[in-house]
Order: sequence, then C-alpha cells, then structure tokens
Amino acid sequence: MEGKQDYIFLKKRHISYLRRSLSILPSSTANYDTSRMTVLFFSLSGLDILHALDDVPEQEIQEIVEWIYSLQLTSEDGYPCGGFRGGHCVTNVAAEATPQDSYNIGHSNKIKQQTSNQYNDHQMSSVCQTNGILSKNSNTELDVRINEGDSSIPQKLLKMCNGNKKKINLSSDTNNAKGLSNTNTVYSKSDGKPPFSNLSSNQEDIHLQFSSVYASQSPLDTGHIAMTYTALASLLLLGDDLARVDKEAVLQHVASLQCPDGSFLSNAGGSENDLRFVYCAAVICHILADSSAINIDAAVTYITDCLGYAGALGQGALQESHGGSTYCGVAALHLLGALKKNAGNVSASKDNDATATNETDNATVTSNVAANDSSAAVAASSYDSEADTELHGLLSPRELDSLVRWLIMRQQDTCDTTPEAVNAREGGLQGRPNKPADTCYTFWVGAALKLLGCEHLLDLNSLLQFVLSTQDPVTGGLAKHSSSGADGLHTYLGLSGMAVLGLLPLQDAMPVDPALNMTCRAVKHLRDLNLRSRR
Amino acid sequence: RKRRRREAQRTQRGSLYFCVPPSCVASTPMTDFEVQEDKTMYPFSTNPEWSDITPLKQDDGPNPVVSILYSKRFSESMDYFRAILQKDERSPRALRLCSEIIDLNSANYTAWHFRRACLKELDSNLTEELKYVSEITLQTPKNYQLWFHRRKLVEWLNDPSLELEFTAKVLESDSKNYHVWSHRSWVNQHFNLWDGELAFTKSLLEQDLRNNSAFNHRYTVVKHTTGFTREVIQSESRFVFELITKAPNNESAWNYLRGLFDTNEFSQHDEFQRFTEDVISGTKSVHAYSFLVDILMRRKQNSDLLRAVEICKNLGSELDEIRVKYWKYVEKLIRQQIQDE
Repeated sequence: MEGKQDYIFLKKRHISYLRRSLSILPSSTANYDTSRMTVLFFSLSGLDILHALDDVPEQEIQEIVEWIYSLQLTSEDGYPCGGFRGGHCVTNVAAEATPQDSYNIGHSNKIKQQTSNQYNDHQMSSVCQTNGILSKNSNTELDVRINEGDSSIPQKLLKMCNGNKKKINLSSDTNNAKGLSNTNTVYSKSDGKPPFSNLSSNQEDIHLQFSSVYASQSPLDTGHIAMTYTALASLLLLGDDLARVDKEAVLQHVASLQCPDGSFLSNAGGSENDLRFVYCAAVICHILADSSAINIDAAVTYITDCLGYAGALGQGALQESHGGSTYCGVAALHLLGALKKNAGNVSASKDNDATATNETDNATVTSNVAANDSSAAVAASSYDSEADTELHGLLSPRELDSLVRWLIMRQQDTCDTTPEAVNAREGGLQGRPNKPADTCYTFWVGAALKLLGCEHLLDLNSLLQFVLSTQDPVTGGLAKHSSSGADGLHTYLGLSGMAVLGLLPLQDAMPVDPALNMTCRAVKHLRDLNLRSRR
Repeated sequence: RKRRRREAQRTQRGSLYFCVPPSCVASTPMTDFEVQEDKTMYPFSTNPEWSDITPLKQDDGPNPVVSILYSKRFSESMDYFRAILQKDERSPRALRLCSEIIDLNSANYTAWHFRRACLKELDSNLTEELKYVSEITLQTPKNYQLWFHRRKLVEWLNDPSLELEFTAKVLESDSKNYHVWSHRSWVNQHFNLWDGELAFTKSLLEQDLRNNSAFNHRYTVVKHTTGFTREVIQSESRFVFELITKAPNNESAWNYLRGLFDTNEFSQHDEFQRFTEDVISGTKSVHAYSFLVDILMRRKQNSDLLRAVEICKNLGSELDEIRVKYWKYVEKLIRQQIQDE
C-alpha cells in the first residue's frame, strides 16, 4: 500500500442509510418484497452495531414490534405450522368457501395417474396439506398417509389433532413412489379419495366441510424459515420479551421443514434445501432454547457431509466450497453443539446455562498456541467454549486445519484493477478461490474464522481498508466492491463483519456475536429472558 | 435479444418490464407464458379479461416499516394476484398472471408455488413450461426459485435431455454461477448421466484454468464414476500438473491437487512432492510452497518438519506477507509437532 490515504469510517452516513431503509425502500428493491423481514433485520442490527438503535423513538420501536408480530402465524389463527412471513404479500388472502382440493399436487382427481411420471411432490403436498388438515374444526376426519419409518412425526400430528379435536386415521404408505432426494416427506392425504368422501361409519361425525378444513387464510400463506429467524432476531434487537411468539407453532414450522437428509427447506410450498436454512433452524432453536423439534444428529451429519476436498463447506455434499455456506455450517455446528449439550439439562439457572456470556480470548483450533497479540479490541463473545469442544469433536484436527487454511486464503493481496475500481484496495475477502473480493465475506469468512478462534490470523488492517473502500460516501451504506452501489445486505454484513473482527473502535461499533450475528448486547438480552425456563 | 436483456438488467432491478424484442426478430419461438411487450395484461383495471375480478390491495397494517415504493404496475399486478389466490382460481389467465408477477419479482416464491399448482390443475404442457423457464433464466440467472422450479419440472417430466446443453449455455455468460453448477450436478446424479462430464470440465478449464467451479465439478464427476483409484489419481494429477505448469500459482488447481493427495492414503506422495519441488525451483508460487508444507507435515521426520518451518518463515516474511500471522501460526504448530515427537 504505497502512500494511499487511509479511508475514514463514515459512521453517520451509514446510520442515515440504515434509518432510511427502515422506513422506505426504492422501487428498484421490489425483488425484496417477500423478504422485507430480512431487510428489517439488516437495518435494525446495523443500527444497533453503530450505537444508533437507541435513537429510534420508542413509539417507532413499538410500531416495528407490532409489524413483526403482524407477520406471525399462530395456532390460534388455525395454523398448525407457524413461523413468520417476510412481508404482507398474501397475508390478507382468505380462502373462499369454494370447495377446492388442497395444494396436494399429488392427487388431484383431474390429473391422470401416470405410473412412473407421477406428480408425487411430497414437499409441496405435505406441510401445505397439514396447514389445511389441522385447522380448528372439530367435526372432520381425514385419512392420512404417512411414510414408513417416520414414526416420530405422527405423534406430533396426533398431538396437534387432539388439540383441535380431530380424528385422524394413519396408514402407512407401502406404495411410496420413487422418493426424490431431499424431499420432506411427511404425510399427505390418501390418494384417490374425492374431497367429500364419506368415511366408514364407525368413526366420529365425518362430514367433511372442505371450506372449513382450511384455516381462514390461504394455504399459500406460509411462514419462511429465514423470515422466522430474522423476525426473532429483530424482536430481540428491539428489546422485546418474545412473550407473544407462539413458540410451539414456530417449532412445528421448523420441524416440518427438515428433510430426511438433515437439511431444511425454507417454506411449506417447497424450496431448495441447503446450509442456509440449516443455519436458520439452528438460530431459531437457539433463541427459543428448545431443540426438541429438530433432529440434531441428522442436521450435523448434513453439515459435515458438506465438507469438500478444498477444505471448506459447500451448500450440499460435493458442492463447491463457498464462504457463505462455510459460515452457515460452522455457525450451525456451533449452535447445534451447544443445543445438544443443553438438551438434557433440567436446571434453567444462569450458572448452568452453558450459553452464558463468556469473556473470550481467541480459543485455538487445536490445543496449540494462537498468536493473539496484535488483534484489535477483543469482543466479549457469548459463544461457549464447551460448545467449541463439541465442534472440534465433529471435525478432525486435519479437517480443522484445512478449514482454517481455506478461510485464510480468501484474503486477497491483489486489488481490482479495472477502470471503474478507482478506489479499490487489496486485503478484501473473496467467497471462493479466483473470485473477486466482496465486502459481505468480511462477515461470512471473518465470523467463521472467529468461531474457529483464528480470526486474528487475517491481515486486519488491509481488510479494514478494503471494506471502507466500498463505502458509498453519498448515500451511505456499503457495496460489494468499490465500483458498485450500496445495498442492505452488503451494508449490514460489512458492518457486522468489521464488528465481529473488532476492526473498528468500540465507540463506533459494538461487538457482535459471530454465531448469532447480533450485537452482544442483544444476545445478553436473550440470555436475560432465560427462555429455557419458560414453559 | 441478449443485449436488450442485459440493458434492461442494468437499468432497474426488479422492474424488467419489456425486455423481450418483438417476435419478428426472435430467434426462437416465444412460449405461451412469457410476458411479451404487446401481451402484458397490465393495466388490469381496463383489461376486459379481468373485469370480473375485484383487486385485493395489500394490507401492511397501520404502521408499516421497510416499505417498498412499488411501481403502479407492480401494485396492481399484485392486487390481482391476491384476488386470484383468494379465489384459488387455477386457470390459464392465472398462469399468465403468475408470469407477470415473476417478471416483476422473480423471488416471489408464492407466485412460483401457485404457478406449479396451476400447471397441475391445467395439466399443462410441461415442455412448454420448461421453455418458458429457459427463456427467462438469463434475466435472473441467480434466482433460487427459478432453479428450484426448473428442477421440479425436470422431475415431473422425468426428462433431463435438455439440461446439460442448457446449463452449458448459461455457463457461457457466467462460468461460475453456483446455481447452474448445482443444477447440473443434480441432473448428473439424479439421472445417472455422467458421459462427457469429465470432458466438459476439461473444455471449461481450457477456456479458463482458474475456474474453481469447473475443478469442483470434476471432483464430483470422478467421485461418482470411477472413484479415486490409484490409476485415476495418476491421470488426474497429470492433468492438473499440466494446468499448474501454465499458471503456477493458481489456487484452484492446487486445491484440486491437494484433494487428490488427501483422497488416497496410499497416493504417490513422492510424485506429488517431486512435481511441487519442480515448480518452486522455477517460480515462487505461494500455493506450491503451501502444498509442500502440507506434504512435509505428513512426514514425521524432523528434517522434513524443520524444512517446513523454514518454508513458513519464507512465506510469512517474503512470499505471502499478507498472511504473515497465519504462517507464524503454522510454524508454531509444526514446532509443537517436533517437540511432541
């Protein structure tokens, strides 16, 4: 870095940018319409990091809290699977009384049964189906088919049905059509039966009112795992006590999205499944201090299967190692490890709470020495050294070494020399080998290293200069490169990344918990809520 | 056509209205579903086809936050979409309405979900639908919902015949698009289609030997086909040696080499080491040195470990200064290893 002027951190500009995104977003952001909750999280968490959340008027805080809760799906509304939506796109769509088949794509009477080309989309049908089946209505009975081997799920289903006074006949699906990989096969209505079929006479009142089978809302109006996670995180940031969170419904929502291979979908309408949603599930369970809804072992297996030949994690097995998925996997292992440890604990006292705030130095990956000398202000992190042991037990020393090596190699000592990148700096972090450095990896790669106790091995000074070079001095906010425009995601992850790594003075940026991606202050609030003791 | 799409992309995200040229200059026939300039249904309020529908406005509550300033077209289209969802009307016009919504916001997963419901209900021609998805892919090639939808179609059709060619085409505009590689990999595995995959990665690496995704795909292909036998490791390492010779500090190539090295406990350490020593005798490649450190650390002899220490010192002080702290850390690890012996 020959004689280049150091960049200044434009704190006030970023606060303005984040305050603006809290209220209004331009029409060019229409593609965030279903994920406004994440934009909210970026704004709130970003402001919190910059010590600016307290400047938001209390009334506005309460309005935001109300908006978040307005996006929750609760059992009282008739939703068996809860969670939060990302926006109000379809929240006021009520299902009309027209008798309609469910969204069980597998068995519409109008579609001819084809043998090998069957429309057996279990992901689509299963949970959407349960959204319909389990609404409040006492006089219905349904045949429900489950897949063999799924013994735990019917119990949950039965429990929910008993709560709603609904009689369910369970039968095994012995003719399970060729299972698709990663399907969330739970249960679906039996094939071939028309909507108004009369069931056998020795059962309860069986008049099937199809219009009332559904909840009052559209079965298309489902929660989304990433919106649920960011909703809970946002509530914590706002100092809410989560008393209005329908915990059972949220956990049911998360449980219903887990696939047989341990990964998670994002929503009941069907989606891709990968490490991003495993991370979301892990955070949700951590916040609610309850892992009973998910199969931790399966999730851990999925994560470790994501380790690639290059040493880091792809989004799925054998997929390309990538900074984002690596973070999601490492953080999820960390959180799930802690959850597993706590699963057996009865006592809810803070002392026993293994996730209590710890002052931490940089715990080493192996038992060997870490050069902890020149790192900037060490953040008090609330991650737990016992959980670290859990994590280290899951990966071999060699795997951990390779992982650290891969992450450290993401730092670029060259810089973007294209004409637009006039203000570029070297020292940035890339997401994969031979890709350009990008501000958001400051968090993904930086926080992963922090969780592994090796973040101090980065060249923090040049990294800081790179990130600051991506600031937009006019609008505020940060961009992926110095030649791009600012957006919410890069703004937040740039700030959070710098905070996790302690790159900024404490009066500019609060310390951030690397596993939960929130300020330590918000995490402390979570601890103080002591949710594990709440029943 | 590609150029106009790119122009549209550069103007506004999320507002790709009219990015399709008139059909007279189209090189391939338009599908029924694609939103065309003269066939958009907007404005719905004056469109006789929609006169029976009462639009349903979004209810954001009394004090909304993170409010998007929707365009008129966006708002109105969504209002009609909500109305159709309320009716649960899975009709041809509903399907076209989904296309409008997807055109305005391809990330709207509810639109894609409802679209699939319509396709089923209407017993639609899924080959046509696949064509539609292909047509709109380049507008939003990194959209998760689009690729998930495509996967569903391919599953329902149980027909992968277009996929390899299509993914190859999309990779032409972005050879490292993660979604495309995931999809291609899924097709390979789901349909057991591996012929020509190795050659495909080779051709991509010939175009750009720094394509990390191509290397990763190659590893996946070998894993699923021959496996990493002694012979395969030999031929693969020859392949990588050649690429490294062309670009001695290409991390992607060295990672792949290390992947081969790690795969087989009985792999030819000597040959790997010989090659690496050869490289560093000619050029100061950080990744070559780094790999040599790994090889030496596997050995237990002090002489090797001490040499590894020296290399770390060299890397930290001169060759890879940005990682001086990391190389000091590795040095300490090795010293610890020496002490433990």
